[in-house]
Amino acid sequence: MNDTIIDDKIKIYQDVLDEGHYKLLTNNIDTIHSEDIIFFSDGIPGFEDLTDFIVCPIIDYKPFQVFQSLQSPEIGMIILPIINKFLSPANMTTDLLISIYQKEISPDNDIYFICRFSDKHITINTKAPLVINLNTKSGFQPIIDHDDLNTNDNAQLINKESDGK
Amino acid sequence: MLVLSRKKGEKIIIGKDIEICVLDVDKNLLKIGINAPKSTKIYRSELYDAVQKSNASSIFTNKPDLPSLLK
Repeated sequence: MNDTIIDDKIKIYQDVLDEGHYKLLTNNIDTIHSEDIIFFSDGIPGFEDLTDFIVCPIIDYKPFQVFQSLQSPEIGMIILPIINKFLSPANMTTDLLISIYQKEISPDNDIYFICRFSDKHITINTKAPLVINLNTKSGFQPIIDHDDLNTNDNAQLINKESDGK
Repeated sequence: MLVLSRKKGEKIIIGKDIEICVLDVDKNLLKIGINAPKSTKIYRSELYDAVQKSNASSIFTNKPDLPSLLK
């Protein structure tokens, strides 16, 4: 892709981000750089047409990030690396989960839970994690067909003493 | 929708590199085998539907109360 096309795309994306829901949780992104864009060639299930995303750390809760579409300002999800000090699946150890994922996901990738928040608890999608390769700036959302994984698993707090910083 | 009748052991070819073979037929259960490039994602539709719904409901519209939820 030539530089002019990339520049034009970034101008459009900057306008989209001005309306982006990520701002509810993170600092405003003043300038997008082409290397910030993570490309999902097949989109993600339910949003197959959205291919370009950005991730932004959440203020004061840095392992949590917003996965924000650059094509649709209202499409943003909260993600968390599967290895973190906050949450783990309630029904299995993180080690077991990693061993399940390792059969289908290359270790070159970073793997994230997509988190869902209600007023009282947090659930995580262990069946379809978000996979991002920061070297190639690409990602995908595989569906792991395993009976112990769910799209809406309960999450348990790892360290209740954590101050979240 | 294209409708084809196939017997056990017969195949269907889709494009140049996807092959579907009827392995077994038993009352209401049809067992099929699929040969496709590794890059072709193949899912049971109910699984894909569940992930679509989960993704749609994971979009946040309000600021979650992280300090309380992570206490």
